[in-house]
Amino acid sequence: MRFFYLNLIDGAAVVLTPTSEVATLPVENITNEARSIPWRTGTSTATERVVIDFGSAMAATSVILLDHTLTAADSAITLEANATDSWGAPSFSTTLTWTADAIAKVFASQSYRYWRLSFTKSSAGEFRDIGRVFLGTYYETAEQPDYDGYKDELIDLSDMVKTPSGQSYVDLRDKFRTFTCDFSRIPQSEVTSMRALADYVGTSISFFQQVDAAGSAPLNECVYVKLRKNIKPDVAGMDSDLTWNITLEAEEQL
Amino acid sequence: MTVDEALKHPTAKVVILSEVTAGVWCRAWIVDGTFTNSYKVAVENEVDSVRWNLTTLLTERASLALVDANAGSWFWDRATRLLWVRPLTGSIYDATIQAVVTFYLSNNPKILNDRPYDPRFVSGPSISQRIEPRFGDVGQIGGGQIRFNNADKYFDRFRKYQWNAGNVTLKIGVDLPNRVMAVGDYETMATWIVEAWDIESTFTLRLKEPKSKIATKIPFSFYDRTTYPNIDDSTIGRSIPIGYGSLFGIEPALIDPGLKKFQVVGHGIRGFDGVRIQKSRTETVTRSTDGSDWLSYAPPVFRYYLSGETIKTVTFNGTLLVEADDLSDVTSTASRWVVEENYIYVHPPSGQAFASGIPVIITSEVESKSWVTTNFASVDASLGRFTLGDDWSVGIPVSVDFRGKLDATGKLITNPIKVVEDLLTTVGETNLNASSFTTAGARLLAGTDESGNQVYRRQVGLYISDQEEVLDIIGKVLAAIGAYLYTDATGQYFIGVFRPEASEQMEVIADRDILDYSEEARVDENISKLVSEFNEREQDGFVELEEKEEAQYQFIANQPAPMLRKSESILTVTGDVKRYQQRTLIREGLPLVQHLITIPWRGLKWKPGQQVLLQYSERNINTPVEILETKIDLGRKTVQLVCGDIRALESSSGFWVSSSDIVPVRFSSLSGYGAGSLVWNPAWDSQIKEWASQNSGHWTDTGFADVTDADSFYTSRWV
Repeated sequence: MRFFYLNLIDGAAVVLTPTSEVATLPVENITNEARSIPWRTGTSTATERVVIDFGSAMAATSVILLDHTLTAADSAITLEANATDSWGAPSFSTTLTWTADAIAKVFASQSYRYWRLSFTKSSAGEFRDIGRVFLGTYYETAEQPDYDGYKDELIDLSDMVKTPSGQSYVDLRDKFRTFTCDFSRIPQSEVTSMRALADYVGTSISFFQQVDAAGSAPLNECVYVKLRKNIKPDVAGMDSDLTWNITLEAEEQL
Repeated sequence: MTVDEALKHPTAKVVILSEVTAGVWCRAWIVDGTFTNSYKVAVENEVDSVRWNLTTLLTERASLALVDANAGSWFWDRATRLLWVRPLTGSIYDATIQAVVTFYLSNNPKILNDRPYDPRFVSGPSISQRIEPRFGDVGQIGGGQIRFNNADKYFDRFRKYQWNAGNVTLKIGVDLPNRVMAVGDYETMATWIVEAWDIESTFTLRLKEPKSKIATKIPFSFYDRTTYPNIDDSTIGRSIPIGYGSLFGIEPALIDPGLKKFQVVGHGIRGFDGVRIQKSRTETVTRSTDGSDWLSYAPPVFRYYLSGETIKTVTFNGTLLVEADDLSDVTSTASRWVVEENYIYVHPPSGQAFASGIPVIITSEVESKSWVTTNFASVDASLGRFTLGDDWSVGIPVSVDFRGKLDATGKLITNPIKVVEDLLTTVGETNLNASSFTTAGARLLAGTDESGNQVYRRQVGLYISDQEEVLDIIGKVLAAIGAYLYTDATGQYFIGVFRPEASEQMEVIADRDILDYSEEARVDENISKLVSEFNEREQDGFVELEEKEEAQYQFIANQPAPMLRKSESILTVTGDVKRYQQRTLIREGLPLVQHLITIPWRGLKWKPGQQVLLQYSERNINTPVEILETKIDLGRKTVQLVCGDIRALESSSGFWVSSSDIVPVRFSSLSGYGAGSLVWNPAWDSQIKEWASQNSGHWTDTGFADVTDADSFYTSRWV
């Protein structure tokens, strides 16, 4: 299971430079936890880019584009990195695969000051939105959740009232999911990593989780969540090898 | 898809947009190093406008260079979050400069026109609109509070903003499960101004309705010596009146005693119809009394009661007595008389006394007054002025009749709806719903006279000489003509003249819509007799009077005496007063029934005065009702309705129909339908009878009053 929580583009010194943006929906919105407020491109050029300047070299191993409106007809969705803001032959380049959900990719660690995200719209006259971007390293557990230790529940915030005659009226609201992952008898080293995660995000900072990168949907989906509860490791064995039981409860963020 | 259409769906996402404007007082100006005409200050939020000393809006420019080249302009640089201003005039430090910024907030995440709406909306005020169940008062929206999430302390940064310098506008849109509403279809629901705010874990703005000018008192101009240099001192400071319609017995203001010039109002009028002056005459009266008519006071002093006359002489048994200075003088000295508190005290001559057969003769003077028609020496209708001739002199009361204010075409305002419109515009209330004013005015149109002038029913006469709130004055007009006026949530004025409507085209409130229902009846203000005073001649001291009684309302209410109401009507035509009394007795003779109904968002846009068909089978109700009040609960997305029983008419109104009209064919399978004739048929199914009562009425002279059909006794009425 992977956790993407150390998001480098949220850093205070980061400078974002897009090829275009709508004034009221600037590129800085991709650093805003509110995923519903996106960066919106302009409508004059087909190829859109945003250069991310970390100020100094930073190592990253993954990228996620959330709540985007890129289409299957768009092309050349690319992440590049370079030591300078010069993109003739960047030191690192990787192509991202379009999906309607979050577009994500992990790669071998690269450490550069300048990163560039690019895509070519199917039509220059259209705009595209990206709600949130993750760029940084990720933590992957050594073991997957228990075989029967994964639960996924859909919560509908809609409000329904019924008249005495039985007609229902529904005030539609958004839905979100909650996730429960049980980890049994995991070693101390794993608990230490999970505690580092929990210490960083608490129940207040959003991050991405991917239950099974090699699995099929929905387990391979990168979901934008917050922890519902702080972790509470239970000692499971104290013989020669200390082991723990941990339950991670997370809630999808809207 | 319009909001109206979308609201009919039972599954919908009601999107509430809140656009909140606030002022930012900009003071720490720094002159630019290059563009030295321009000054900058940091403003975090996008600036919408810039006010210079409150009233002047500076001009927005596209760049700093353009600002520098144009006095009185501004530019907000999004990249640097700096506001640049080149002063309008003088020093920028001597002016009060306020930037106006807007916060875009909502109850659901939304991006409309590239504008993100931050979903911080927690709760909003109830949006309430109402009209009176009895015609009269003007309905207005209330205030309340709107709350936004501030858990992240977002609004803390803006605590120095002047939230009371802006306003709050609520807009509504409706997304359906598979259809998202276009931004152009969103509708404004309400606008308020802010009177206070709290910043805690929620940011709360306390709201009040936009300041209403309708509470302004009129007239607001006064007689003064500057404008009227020859005016009498006693007239200075009096309001310069406003007059509408035909007015009688008005006391004019004397604005120039030397020229014998008078003024009735402060505007042009249609013309003067007549003038009267009060004449006084003194007569000498000789009254012979007998000694036995006098009352003993302190013998030999006797007294006699006589009021309203000026006593000149008293002769006792042939001796002319002397008038004394006071009563003590009379009691101490013979042959004296004096008047105190309408008694004549008399001390007879020495050796004489009051007795039967002794004559006491009193001479006195009596003054009588009468109104005499006179002629105008000149008139100036354009200024509401006239002069009188030599038969008038200073001190003689004057009473004048005239027709009042003119419309834009120079004709007398006779349509009472136009009177209301004119009153509103007089105090600067110009946001009027033109359609409702036109429709209401047309409802009072009786026809056209031989001169081609439109003639209106329910004409009013209003002479506004003492300061009074326009709200109250309009209330009198509404009460007289059976109309209602209210401001909607955006501050726009709607007017309507009540008239029952056929139910076929009405919105229907059915069982499926009703979340909560109750019914109440009030009897406290019921009447069975109405006495109306009208066309008051205040100066002449009399009024016209009409009386109307419907004893059945007294009897069914089990009251031993008539339930009487006396009213002063501003209607000027006797026939209108008679019909007003008929209407009022029909409406207020029976208990006031109100249906209190809560429905979902379907009714979000319904307005007071709208008539809807209430078909609530659970309570066996099928009747048209009139919406008197709507109260929108934005949190629950419900609408509480207070509905009246069509001013007690319920389904009893008659409607003119075409001879070719028939009962709708959807009833053709029901008993009694036949060929669909509208002639009342006792054999009709109850559904057809209900429909006919609501849409054509029950007024045929054949086929009703069937003892087996209780409904057949319930014939229709016209009001």
